[in-house]
Amino acid sequence: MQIGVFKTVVSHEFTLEFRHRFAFAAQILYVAAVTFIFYLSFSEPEPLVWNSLFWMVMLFSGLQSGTFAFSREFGRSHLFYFQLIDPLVLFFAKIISVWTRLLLLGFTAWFLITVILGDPVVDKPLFALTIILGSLGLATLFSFLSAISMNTSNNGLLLAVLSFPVLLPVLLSVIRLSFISMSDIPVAYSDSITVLLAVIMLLIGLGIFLFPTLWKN
Amino acid sequence: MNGFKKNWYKYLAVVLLLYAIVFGMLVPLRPGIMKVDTFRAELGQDLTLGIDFYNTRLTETTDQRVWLRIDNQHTLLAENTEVVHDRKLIAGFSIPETTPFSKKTLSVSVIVDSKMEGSMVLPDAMVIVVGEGAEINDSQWTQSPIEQLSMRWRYAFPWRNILEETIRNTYFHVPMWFGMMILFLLSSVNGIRLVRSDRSVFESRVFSLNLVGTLFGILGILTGAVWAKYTWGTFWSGDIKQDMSAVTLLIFLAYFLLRSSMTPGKKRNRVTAVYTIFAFLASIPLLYIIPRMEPSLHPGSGGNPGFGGEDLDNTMRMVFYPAVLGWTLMGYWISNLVFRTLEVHKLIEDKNYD
Repeated sequence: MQIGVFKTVVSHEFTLEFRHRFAFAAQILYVAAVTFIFYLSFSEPEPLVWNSLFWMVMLFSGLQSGTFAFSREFGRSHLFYFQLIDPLVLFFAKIISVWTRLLLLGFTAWFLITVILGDPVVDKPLFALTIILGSLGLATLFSFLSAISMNTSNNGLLLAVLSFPVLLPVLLSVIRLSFISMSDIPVAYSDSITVLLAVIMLLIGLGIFLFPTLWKN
Repeated sequence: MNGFKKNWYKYLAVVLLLYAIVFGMLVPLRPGIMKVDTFRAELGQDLTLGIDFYNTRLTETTDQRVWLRIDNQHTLLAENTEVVHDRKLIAGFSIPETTPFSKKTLSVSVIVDSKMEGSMVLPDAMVIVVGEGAEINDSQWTQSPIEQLSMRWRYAFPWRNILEETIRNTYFHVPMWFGMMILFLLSSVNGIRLVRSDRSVFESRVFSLNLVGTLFGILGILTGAVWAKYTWGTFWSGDIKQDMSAVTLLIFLAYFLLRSSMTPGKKRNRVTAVYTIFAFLASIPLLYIIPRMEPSLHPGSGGNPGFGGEDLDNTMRMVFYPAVLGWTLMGYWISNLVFRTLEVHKLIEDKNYD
């Protein structure tokens, strides 16, 4: 039954996302604008600059998606949701919806940046894997912290302040992994993937443990 | 007597900290070699090596023996030694024309031994350059093995090059981090109790423990920065351990921001407790996992040996563990004061509203 509920909630999320597709379009536009500004100032960036541009774009898009992740549920209809579904179902549905959004955004950004600025990525499967794992990390972190910051009046600012320190381990390993994928020399990267996975598991575990408590308010 | 039963840990904290500060500051360092005045010599050269010492009294005896040591089998004893003053010695060597290995340079340690001071080592003190076509023959290098070293135990802290007197910071910098982690652990435990029972008394506990834990963290960063100035060269060198500690502090500073941006009540108690548990668990990879994977100067990171190896010998343990316990108890004491102030304020507010 839980799985049935889960499917319903996830498809509900996607329907809502699709209805508000202008928000996603706005983020794509943001990526395009940032990339074009970079093109005007750098024209042919080095891999290091390319890398930081890409993850800056991902970071701020993730922040944007995360800020409003729970705006519906923590608002007026909170009681309705509260009675209807298990908090964990909602939590995972949120993670999946934010993750999907970030994945779409990440691959679109990769495509856009490649078209405008060129593509220094050598090991493409590794970079794709980095986008997938990195988006999962960002999605989990932002969903969880968005649930915390939704309780305050100034949630957008607070989400940024709360999440940036914790983001660092995710971003550090993601940036290292994508930098490895841009180098011609093969470098061992299993350590970074392990760290990234460990941080993601930690975040998900914390979410399972703590989200129901936050939800009970 | 009643008061003592309740306050025993405060007396213990004061006694332990007094002990740690007095002994940590007053116990001398063991004698050691500061530096040698020559860094490069050649085969067949008559070498006059000036050696500077620290904390020695060389003029009281004349039995100093000085060796150049390539490895355990290949050593060279000084032919004559001359004491200049208590902390300076000049040793004369005649370096053989032959080399034990076919290397371009030989890295040598200097070893000095005397009954008064015990034996002292300066690792990789200098380099002997092997010229082209030097004969490979180790017979002259094996004639004077290092033997009959004097062992002299004294109540003193170990001598470490570069660290020198700053080794005493071990009793201040390291206990800050131990204390911080213990206080944060306690605050997380109180956070769990708060979430389970919803009683606001635990919220005051969480806040006071987080406050003192963050204070300890800031002091840990500051003592670490001062230590780094005298050993690594700058206050802040962007070392991964420094950066990650700063990030950990930012996570906990965000707790205070979160707490102050919500109105007091059950909702705030719950949310801040959840954030505290989250912050504590998030700080573990930042402080103990990531720094081990990056290059770093800090002990216990970047493949460096962790704490408790050669740097922490038994004389230091006798001060270090009491210092850790003392600082932690002191932190708990301070947090208790903060906690009681908060509770009193709550009572006053309740009275006013009634």
